[in-house]
This record gives sequence, C-alpha cells and structure tokens, in this order.
Amino acid sequence: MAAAPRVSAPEKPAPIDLQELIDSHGGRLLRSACLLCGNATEAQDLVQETFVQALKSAHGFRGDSAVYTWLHGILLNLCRRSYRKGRRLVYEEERVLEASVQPSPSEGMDRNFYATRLAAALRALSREHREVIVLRYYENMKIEEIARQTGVSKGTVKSRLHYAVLCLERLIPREMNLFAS
Amino acid sequence: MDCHTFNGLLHEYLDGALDAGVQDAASRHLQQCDACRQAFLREQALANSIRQSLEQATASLSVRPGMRLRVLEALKSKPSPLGAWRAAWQRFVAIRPAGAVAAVMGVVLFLLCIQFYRRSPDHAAHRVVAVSGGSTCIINVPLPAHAHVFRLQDNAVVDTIADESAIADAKLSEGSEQSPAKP
Repeated sequence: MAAAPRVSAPEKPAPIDLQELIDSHGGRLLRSACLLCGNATEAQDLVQETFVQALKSAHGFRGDSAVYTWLHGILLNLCRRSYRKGRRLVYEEERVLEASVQPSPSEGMDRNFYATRLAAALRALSREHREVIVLRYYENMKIEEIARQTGVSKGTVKSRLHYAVLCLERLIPREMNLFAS
Repeated sequence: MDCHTFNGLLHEYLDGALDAGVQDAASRHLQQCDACRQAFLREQALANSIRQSLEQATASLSVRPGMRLRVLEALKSKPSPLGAWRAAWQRFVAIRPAGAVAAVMGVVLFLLCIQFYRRSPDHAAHRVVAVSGGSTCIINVPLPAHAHVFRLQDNAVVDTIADESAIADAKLSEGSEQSPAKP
C-alpha cells in the first residue's frame, strides 16, 4: 500500500520575542523618536507604544520589509498622531536663532556642541521637513522608501528635502561648516 | 545627460535606484561635469555630516529599564470596545481579504436597498394608509405627473395610480362625499 503523500503544514510565523525586539531595535527607535518629536521623555513613551502596537498587529506583519522598517513605520504614525494632539514641545525658530550665538573658541571644535546645535535646529523645522531629514540622513532611507513611509510622491520628498536643508542652513552656525561646498 | 537632468536625479543616483542605462549616463556626466561633481560630493558630505551629528546628539539615549514589563502591562489592560471591534475587523481583513470585500459590498447593497424601498410607491402607500382615516387619500409619489389615489370601497382600500385629471376627479368626489348634500 502506497504511503499517502505527506502534506507539509503551512509555516507559522515565528513567535515574536519582545525582549529580543527591544534589545535589537529599541535603542535606535528611541533615538529616531527623539529626533522626530524633540523630547526624550515623550520618545520613551512613543517607543513603548510602538512595541505595544507591534505586538497587537504582529499577525499583519508578513515579512515584506525588515522588522526595523516595520517598527519604524508604526513609530512614525505614532509621532504624527502625537504631533496632531499637540503634545510635542514647540520650539520657535527665533529661540534657536537667539541661541545660535558665536561659539567660544574652546567649544568651537567641540563636536558635542555641534551635535546639540543641529538637534536644536532640527526641532525648529516643520514636522514634514524634520521627518525627511531624519528619514534620509539618520535612517539612511532611500527616496522611494521615504515616499512610501510618508505617503507622498518621490518629487514631494525631494522638494521637502531641498527646503529642509535650506532651513537648516539658515539655523546652523557657519562655524559648524556643515554646508560648506 | 545634461546638468538639469542630473540634478533632478541626484538622490536616486546616490541611492543606486536608477535603471542601469540611466545610472551609466549619470556616471559619465559626473566624470565630465565639474559643477555636478561638486554637487554630488557636497550632498555626500552633507549626508555624512548630518548623520554623524545626529548620532552623536542622541548617543546617550537608551531605552528605560522595565520597558518589557510596561509593554506587557499595556497589552494586558482591557482594550476599549471600539478598539476590540477594530482589531477584530483588522484581523478579519488580514486573514480573509475577499470576505472583507464581500462584507463591505453586502452592507452597501443593504443600505441601497433601504434607500430604494423608502423611495418606492409601495412604501409611501403603506405610510399613508396607516394614517389616513378618510375615505379618499391622495399622495404624491416620485413618478412624474402620477399619484396614488386610495378609495374606501366596500370596506377595502383600493389603490390606483392616477394621472392629474384623475386626481382632480378624486378631489372633487372627495369634496362631494364630505360636504353635506345641497338642497
């Protein structure tokens, strides 16, 4: 009697280990959230909520993208929702401009000082401009990926990137030499 | 490729997202054009500089302790009924997308049926018969120049669709039935 052909069971998605997710992606998500929302405490809340949402919708993750990209998509949506609720800290452009005094020679070469100044300038940008700067330069995403994540066309992404860099150029002290040709 | 085209494709060129032919043409243009080469190098330097600065600005941040427990606590908390319905619907859509489309179409069809029924003459007749106490009742229906005329005849309601002249006759007869007979 011929043996019945074995029918392989459909592959079940691997169970998600929360601690592993936090260890491998939590830190980077947190830093990205902080750049996007401009506040470290709120960034912690957003990352926590990102993991909650991720576990709730884990059945919807089909592995089409990297896990980090999936998590970052959730985080970006949460940042936008938080922004709409008006919970973010508002940094006026003038405040940044006032703060951008001439650096003293000792701190002129301090990279920490430059980094802090750039982060402050980033907070002064509009949400759309801040998003493209973070996604393009910090997350190192391609234009096409940014367009997909933000739900706009590639042309709009490039336009926003262009104007966001121009805004940063106005806000960053020349000593940083960030935009030197 | 000219400079204008290259500048428009600079980011895609950096991403390596162009078709092979276009990528080659951009590379050739880059070798020949000093201005575009400067723009290319500037964009690369800008990207590196911003990335390093942002990484440095956020380097000290780390996930707060107990994040796992907090997430699990948040998951345990009772979801709102709306959230539960939404989650169930999303699960259904994810598992049975065709079923979800069929369900949506069914609801739309049901709503359309209700709309048509409300506009139908039958529905209007039911409403008027229920409230009409007189022997004759005329109501307008969506059909042009037509109306329903209900008459009480042998203890039964007779329903006829009539044109304008019949409506006028019905009104006359209604008037003569209700008004006392003239001597």
